Amino acid sequence: MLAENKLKSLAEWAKGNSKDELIWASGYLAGLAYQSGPVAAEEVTPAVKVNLKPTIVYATETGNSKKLAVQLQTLLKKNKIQAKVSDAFQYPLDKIEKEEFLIVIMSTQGEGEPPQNAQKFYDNLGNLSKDLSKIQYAVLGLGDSSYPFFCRAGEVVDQQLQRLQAKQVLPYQKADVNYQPVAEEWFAQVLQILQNQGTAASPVASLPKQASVPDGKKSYTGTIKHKVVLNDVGSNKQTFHIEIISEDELDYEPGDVVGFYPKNSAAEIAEIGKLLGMPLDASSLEGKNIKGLSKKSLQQLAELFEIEITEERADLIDILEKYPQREAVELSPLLERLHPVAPRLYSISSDKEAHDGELHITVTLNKFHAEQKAKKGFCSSFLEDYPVGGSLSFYIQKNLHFKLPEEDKDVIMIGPGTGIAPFRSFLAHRDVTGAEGRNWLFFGEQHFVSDFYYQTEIQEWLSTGVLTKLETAFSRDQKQKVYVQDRIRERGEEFAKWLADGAYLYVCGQKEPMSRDVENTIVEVLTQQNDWNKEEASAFLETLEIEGRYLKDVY
Amino acid sequence: MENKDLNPVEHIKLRSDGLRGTLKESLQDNYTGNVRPDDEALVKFHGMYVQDDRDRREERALKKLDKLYSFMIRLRIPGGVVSAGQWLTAHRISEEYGTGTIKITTRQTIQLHGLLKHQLRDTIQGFLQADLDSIAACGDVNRNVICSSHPQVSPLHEEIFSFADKLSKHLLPKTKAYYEIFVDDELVYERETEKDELYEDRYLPRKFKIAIAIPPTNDVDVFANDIGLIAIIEDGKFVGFNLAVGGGLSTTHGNPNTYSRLATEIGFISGEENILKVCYEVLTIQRDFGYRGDRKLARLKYTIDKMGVENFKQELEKRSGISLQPLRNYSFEERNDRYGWAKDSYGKWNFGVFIENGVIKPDQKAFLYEVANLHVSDVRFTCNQNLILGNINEEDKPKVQKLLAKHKIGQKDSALRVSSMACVALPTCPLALAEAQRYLPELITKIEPLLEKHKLAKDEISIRMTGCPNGCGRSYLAEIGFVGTGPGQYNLMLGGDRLGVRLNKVYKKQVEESEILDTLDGLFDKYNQEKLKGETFGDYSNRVLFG
Repeated sequence: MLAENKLKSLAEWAKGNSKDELIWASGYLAGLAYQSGPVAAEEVTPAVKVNLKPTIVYATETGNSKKLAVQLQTLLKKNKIQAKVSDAFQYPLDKIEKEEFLIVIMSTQGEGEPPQNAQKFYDNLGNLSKDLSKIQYAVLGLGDSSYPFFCRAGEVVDQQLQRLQAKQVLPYQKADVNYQPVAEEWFAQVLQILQNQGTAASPVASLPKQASVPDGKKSYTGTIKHKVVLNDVGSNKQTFHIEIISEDELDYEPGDVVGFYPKNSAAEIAEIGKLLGMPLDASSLEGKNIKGLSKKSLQQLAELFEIEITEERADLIDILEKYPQREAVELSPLLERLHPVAPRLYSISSDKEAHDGELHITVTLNKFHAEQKAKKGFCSSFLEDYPVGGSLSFYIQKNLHFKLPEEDKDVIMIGPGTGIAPFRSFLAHRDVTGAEGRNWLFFGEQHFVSDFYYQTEIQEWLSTGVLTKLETAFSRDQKQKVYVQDRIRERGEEFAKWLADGAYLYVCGQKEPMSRDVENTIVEVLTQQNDWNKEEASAFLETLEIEGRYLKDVY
Repeated sequence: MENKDLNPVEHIKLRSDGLRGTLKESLQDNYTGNVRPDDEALVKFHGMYVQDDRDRREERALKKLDKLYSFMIRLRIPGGVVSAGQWLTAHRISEEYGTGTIKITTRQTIQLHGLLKHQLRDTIQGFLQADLDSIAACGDVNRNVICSSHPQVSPLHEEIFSFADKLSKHLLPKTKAYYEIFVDDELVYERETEKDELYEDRYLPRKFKIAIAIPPTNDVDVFANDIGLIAIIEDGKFVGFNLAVGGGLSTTHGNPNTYSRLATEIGFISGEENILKVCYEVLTIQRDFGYRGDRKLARLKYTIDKMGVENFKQELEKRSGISLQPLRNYSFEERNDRYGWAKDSYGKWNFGVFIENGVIKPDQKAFLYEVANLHVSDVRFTCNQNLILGNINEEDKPKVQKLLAKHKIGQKDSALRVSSMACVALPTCPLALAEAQRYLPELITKIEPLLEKHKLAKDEISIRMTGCPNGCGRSYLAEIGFVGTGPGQYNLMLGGDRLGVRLNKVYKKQVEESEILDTLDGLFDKYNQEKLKGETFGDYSNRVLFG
């Protein structure tokens, strides 16, 4: 990738440095690379001496807020501003009044709630009574506009800081799933304010309130053309491969996701009607969220029905069954208290070119028990029951954070279970485009015989050379359980070499425990293979993440 | 023979580096349950066949899953006797891997089905710990040597039986590939020490089978083998064997050059050293003269017919330096197994258990597990796919009786059913054209009322079914034989004798169940009216239908 003369001089320079110096330099160079990216809205103006010491607090569920916090810190550092970064989880709220300039990057989950491990920060801030009038602050909220209460958690934090007299230097900024461009614009403004010693360079009112890029979602109507369970007899799983066609051209790229609005079944609505003692029209409830209601929603129902609900989370039907002594209610106040169904997102497992413009998904029917009752996942059972040939509404959402690199780059894909979905798309795409980069897939499930998703396609890709290497881990085929991370460990030397040679690393599938176990194993492998300590290995992986070479799509 | 005229399997053997091929790599291939194409041929020499569940092919293809490959592993058990401890090992392994079913074969051994590729090494290592192996149980080598299994019939059983093991060991291939591939990861033997004077790098052109019959029992179907040894007993002493060569049943539908052939008796041999030497040289003649251009025409029977029996005999005498003596007299009187209790000439008790088509049912398996745990008997497999608990002391007999009662073993099946035999066929055997093991019991259930109707229920008419013309179920030596030709269709073969010395003939081609039942109903009726005194159904059919 480097011209030979450049490489030579770099190698010459490297000789004279210790290992620690080299590691530091690699991070420094990575920072430079980031700065020269396409959205470099800021310029270094070393003349300005900034005395403010900002603190960036992030609250994250999937790691996006953290990634942005580190990006902002890097940007500020480059402009000679030393910022502290803190996870909301560890942030000492009792000393908040010592801050000079507080930047909060806050994600929103579920029904407008903060990330799980930021709950304490969020609650305590709401209960805080301190004078924060000396603090300047700005809040960036991340969320998904498909859900009700878009970016609500950040909004609440912004209001709380206002309540405590803190001085807002930027209006609250919401960022949708394609947050990166919005965030970068916002960072540039933060930088500018800091360089002006805390006063906004331009009037606050002139700042953009909305993202200047489209939110990357497009709605479609299509038809389920084909549906098949990929698992064979004897499997514990039921994973559907579903092929959807549309009269409109389905516009997506590998890595993009598709969103569905599942509907409640007529049978369940009728059952609820019976419990409520009133005939219910299916259309009244089919689009309302009646599953897995949050504590907050349950409290509202408790008030309506004049009962005491002890559950933390429950389905409407269970509440109606469990509390027969409730007050009779009219339909409309009940409907008012129920939120619309939020969409469910799935990674697209096809490539529009390789699969003739179709859109495929790979969905495991989620089966679980709640209070001894066998339950099925809302959207997976909705898709399970959805008739082939039936017309279906959905939207496609761009996923800019999970894209294939340039054609000649190597790719490591770790996708156990339905985590294989985007990688089927990747491989089909690289096959049809003749991309030259090498591809290494890690797949795992319970049983080789019954759970090897897309086995015949994978065999084809291996025989044609599209797939360079394959590792499989079938956890229940032997006495000792084996997982994808065990295969990473076994192939440690080569794994580290691929990364050292510039391979892009992708992980898709369950967040817990898979993605965490995988990450820990990668750190372990990097530690061993490069003779690093754990911190160095973690820092390397973090650099990859910031550079966009380590990408996760976990759920 | 010119190299270019060799059939593809010959090339695979020659380039296999002592039956190694790429089997080690094949075992590592994580994308498939199969082994690589060459290795499919080689793995047979190590006692395994790769099969796929043909019932599941279509649906799995829709699920984007590869064929459901699994392996059948067949043990080498010369003479078919294992200890109680060895049975327990087989039991344990079958519970852990594969379908859970233990199948007794027509060659007096057992096989497990449905083993997945990644389980093979553990399976083989498990068997080795109990001193059991699957070396040369399949492939173009001398396979499991079989021997009459009824110790109660001859007091010389043990002496004659020992030849099964001696012959098996004498004719084993020398390669240590089996241990290298399935046991140790390291190369354990140098190739130079594996020089194989018998098999060289070519092995035999085709499979090779040896049987030892102890008159008056021909339970081994001695004339269906490449080498048949008929024990000659004079004045209560074992004196040697009549040697028969060139037997083989398999044919190919629509290939008129293929045929079933009974082995030809060519002379008498005696003395252990001579016996081993003569048998050895039969193999070398087959190695050097056997046809390697077409596997369908490669068995010893074709070699002998091409050479002529006299020339073959001369070549054999020349190679071995031993003159064959004139044939001695003997007579066969039965072929069926005996069920229930019988005492042998050593004063030990034996109990014969009927196992329909060799498939040990779950209740039978549970019984055998408990009996084996007593460690008071051995376990003997018969060529009729049944089982004998042998070598039981008088004082231990009650313990076995108690378990027999507990598991309700030994309750009476019909004479026809206990005289039946079937090969595996669908869904796993890649050669099968029609059902056998899964269907024959059902067909017998429909024939039984006909026999009742014609008062023939006590007749031990031999009935055998095989799913293709290769004849693993030895249908060609049955009084009523079925050879699969297509789904639900069979050639109905009649006129074979009860003792296995006369081949049957095709009576009706490609018939289905209703026609089979109608035909048999009519024939049973005529047989009842027209049979001569003491004439078996097979003899009657031969006289009336083909006479």
